[in-house]
Amino acid sequence: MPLLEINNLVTTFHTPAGRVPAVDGVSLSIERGKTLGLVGESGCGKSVTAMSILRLVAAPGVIEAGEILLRDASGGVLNLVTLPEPRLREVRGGRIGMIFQEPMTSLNPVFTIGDQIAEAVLLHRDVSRAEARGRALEMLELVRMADPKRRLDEYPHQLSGGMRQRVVIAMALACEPDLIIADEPTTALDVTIQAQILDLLADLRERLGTAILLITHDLGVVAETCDDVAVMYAGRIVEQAPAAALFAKPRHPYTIGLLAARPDRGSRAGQKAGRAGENAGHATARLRTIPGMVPAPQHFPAGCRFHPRCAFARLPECAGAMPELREVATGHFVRCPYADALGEPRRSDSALEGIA
Amino acid sequence: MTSPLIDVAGLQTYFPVRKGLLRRVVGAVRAVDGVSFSIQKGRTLGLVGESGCGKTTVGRSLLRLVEPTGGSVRFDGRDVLAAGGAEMRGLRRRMQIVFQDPYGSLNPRMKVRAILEEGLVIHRLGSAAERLERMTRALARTGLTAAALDRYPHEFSGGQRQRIAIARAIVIEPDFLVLDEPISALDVSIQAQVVNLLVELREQLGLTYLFISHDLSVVEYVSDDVAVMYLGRIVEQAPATRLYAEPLHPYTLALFSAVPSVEPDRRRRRIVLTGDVPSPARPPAGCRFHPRCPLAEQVCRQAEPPATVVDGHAVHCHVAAREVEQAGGDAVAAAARMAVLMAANGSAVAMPT
Amino acid sequence: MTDSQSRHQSRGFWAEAWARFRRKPLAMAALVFVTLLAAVALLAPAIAGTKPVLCRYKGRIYAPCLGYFDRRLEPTIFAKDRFRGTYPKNLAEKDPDSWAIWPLVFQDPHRAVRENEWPGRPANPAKDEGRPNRINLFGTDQYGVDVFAKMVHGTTIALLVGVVSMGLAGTIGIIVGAVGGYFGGWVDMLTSRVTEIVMCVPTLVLILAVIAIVEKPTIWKTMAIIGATGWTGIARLTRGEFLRLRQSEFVTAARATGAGPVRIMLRHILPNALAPVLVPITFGIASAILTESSLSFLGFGPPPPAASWGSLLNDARSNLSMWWLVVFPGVAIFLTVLAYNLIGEGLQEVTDPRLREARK
Repeated sequence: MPLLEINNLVTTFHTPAGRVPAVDGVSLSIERGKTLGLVGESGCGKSVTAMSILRLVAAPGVIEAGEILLRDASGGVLNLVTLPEPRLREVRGGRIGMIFQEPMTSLNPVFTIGDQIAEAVLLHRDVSRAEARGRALEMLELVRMADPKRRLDEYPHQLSGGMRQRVVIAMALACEPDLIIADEPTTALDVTIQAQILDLLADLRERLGTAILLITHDLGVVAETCDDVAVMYAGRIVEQAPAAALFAKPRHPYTIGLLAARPDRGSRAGQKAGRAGENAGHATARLRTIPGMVPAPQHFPAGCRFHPRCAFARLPECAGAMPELREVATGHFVRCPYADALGEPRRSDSALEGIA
Repeated sequence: MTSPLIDVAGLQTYFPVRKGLLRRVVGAVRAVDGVSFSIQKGRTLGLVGESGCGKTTVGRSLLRLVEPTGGSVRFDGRDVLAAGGAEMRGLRRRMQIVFQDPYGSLNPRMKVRAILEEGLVIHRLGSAAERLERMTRALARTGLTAAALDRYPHEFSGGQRQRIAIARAIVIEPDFLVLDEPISALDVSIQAQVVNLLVELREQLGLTYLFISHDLSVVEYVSDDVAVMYLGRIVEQAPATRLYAEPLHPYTLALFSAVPSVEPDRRRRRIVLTGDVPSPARPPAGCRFHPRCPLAEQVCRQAEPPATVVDGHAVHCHVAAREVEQAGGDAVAAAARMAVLMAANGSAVAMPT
Repeated sequence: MTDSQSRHQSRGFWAEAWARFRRKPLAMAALVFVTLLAAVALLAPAIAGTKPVLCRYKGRIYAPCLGYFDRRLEPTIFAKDRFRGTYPKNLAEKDPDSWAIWPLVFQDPHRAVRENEWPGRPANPAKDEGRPNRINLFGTDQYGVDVFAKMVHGTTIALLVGVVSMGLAGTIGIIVGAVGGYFGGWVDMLTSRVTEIVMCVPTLVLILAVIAIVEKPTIWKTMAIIGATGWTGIARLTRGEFLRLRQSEFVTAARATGAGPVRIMLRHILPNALAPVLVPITFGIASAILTESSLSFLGFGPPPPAASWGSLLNDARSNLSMWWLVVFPGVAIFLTVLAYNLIGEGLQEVTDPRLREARK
């Protein structure tokens, strides 16, 4: 049985401009000790999905339908959508920890690092202040903070971005949660620091057996850290598969496009001006692009929501009905009726010839 | 060889650190501390590095949007740093900049028409009709129509706004563009569109770029030459193909290995640097990278490494200099040795795949 | 890509803000109230007065009501013909062919109406007898002068005080704050210190001192002092906005284009800084009205015959049994101050960038 199961989640924002379906029927499940990557571009609903799990969606957002089931080791099930607020607070920070993108804003600037981690412990554990402080020190050691004793009494502004993110991770782990939701945990960090943090998360997962829901826009990060991947587009999951399968053989046109839009190592834009060994003025290489732009939630198109940008779209079928998410290979789900035809291994790129 | 369009030598930009009631200067943040490079007309130099390394300050110093403290910048033979008001205005018509954040770089109270027209008005280019024609042409080049003129920036998506920012830069027909992280605020599916646009404009208009980015693969794709910055200095500089194929500096190696990749064969080993980038207000003595460098030796803590140049590939590293010497000036062999050394000494971790 | 954009009307920041403001019932009600007050101030002589709005006298048309704005505007022919301010009787007696359009309420703000001044009407009662009735809607003061007429004519002062003093304060504050915030360095040091010094000046005390010294205290001098001391908050806010916006990328972009400081300040920074600065100006209008009322209450109001709402309250001080002297002006001051505060609050809500972002 999965640790967390989301079934048909619908989260809507009721704005003066109308009803905005930010998350529109998302189903996901995370096994104990596994990492699930939730990928997508801005406005696709990935962060709203994460916030919905802990019912932290800000007004005017409302969870309108669906269930979010959290299982414990003995088989008990909680539905977080209907759980009363006081019980939900025990889950927040207790059984589910959260890591945000910007570590500076998720730490309180007027309290020391030690106080903040201890506070997280005291909220959920019946321990003394001294014990909580001891736990805070333990946590800082766990996240491999250099000189942890001294850091306990420092304030967030005295730490670098990478160290702050370690503190946030320490806080999230303080109560030994079963699941950590990490919303773009490394986006604000530099690549060498990102490497440290991703390394730490992978190590912690191995040692503590904590499941991770990793929300990111960076496919590279997903490829390197996740067991499973779900790709979101316009409020819906369009493709879901084990990471290895997805990156070896993406099947949804959107995933294919995203992967192709990044320049490969060694590929170069053609140059006119005389570089040694090249003809002047020869046809130049271009990156493959997904035309158009990411639709805003109030303007999601009818039918398949990707069809206006899709190189493979067949009108009028694709504009007619929303395709179902269906299993095209074991554990590989795709929301596209032509997924079988598109499932070429990525390196050959033959499926991409149509994208201009 | 013709003279370069832009020639930077020993550029320094320090920001004073002030303290106390009287705001006395107590120190300086050495954001850029002795940077030299030159770009030939029509070519692109990529400038990579992490936040705080000074790459953005280099771009702004060239245009004197921040005042450099020392060094020289020559644009088309003219001394930019010595230029007075009128001369500087003339230079600014020929040197333009595109910023990272298309939400912050367009004035929210101005229509696109006013945003594009401003440069034409300031530089007194063309009559009203000619201005309209120029604006329409600039928009068309960036993939927008003249209908955009009567709209406000907030009515556009991020990618379209960046197109407007590019149109603003090219409408006064400059020769040189500083592209300061032009795609990093955009969605992945939009990034490729803008990169293609920039490459097209370079070909059509013969533009020269300084392409500043932390995105290594995009820099490789766009640039002819690449310089890697760390803590206010260029640590390695070479033609793009050479730098990516045979990196010599330990920082470059670590940077390359840290980039998460979707290619399974690229994910074997990652060199994880320990520690954080030191503050540019108190840069370490000797080689600035030594506190984080797995190969640091006694000499690295004491002496600043001079440039070692092999066929236009410049590296500032004592260890790499020795390897190049031992390899008899064979950069390929030296690079291979450096990679082996880094893998052996760095806190390299095998990635689970 | 641009096709979808051409469908809807392109709206700028202020048009958007106005559209949002219109959806706020309280703020809109306040705006309507202030607009009505402005109308009352402008049309005061036509609402309450004893001089005809328009009349025909000896073959010519006159507007004697203008005399309420300035004595010199009252046609001299009526003085020559010894009207002595009583029009109804004199008009009929001295020119049987005359006609007149009278104000809505035949009551004078400067004097009590006498018996039979309006045919068949008794004289205004005075003192405790003057409680509100059909003829004197808000009652009369101790001399029998109609309170409604006084209040209608006092509206001008109430509004002028707010608008003029804050117009002055806004101008000074924006200029000082803009210069300090944009240029920074020693300029900022200087303007900030001056602001702090002015901030230390107690407005009320300064006004009392000036009134004691100058020979002819007028309402204009009071407004000038309120304005000259009330700009500090606006200056500090403007400075903050300019400091922030000076760093923004669109300003850097304008500099890269070659724009000079004046152009950057006027075209790029000011339009972006205006919305947050308008909010304290609106609140400032409310507080200026209160300051003027306080002054008048203390007896330092505009010299007679002009009467402000505050001076009515002053009259009530010595005649506490005449409750109507407290209630009507008090309610008017309260409502006006409240209205300006509601407008300010609404303005803040519709122009706050954080709320704008949340809407998207």
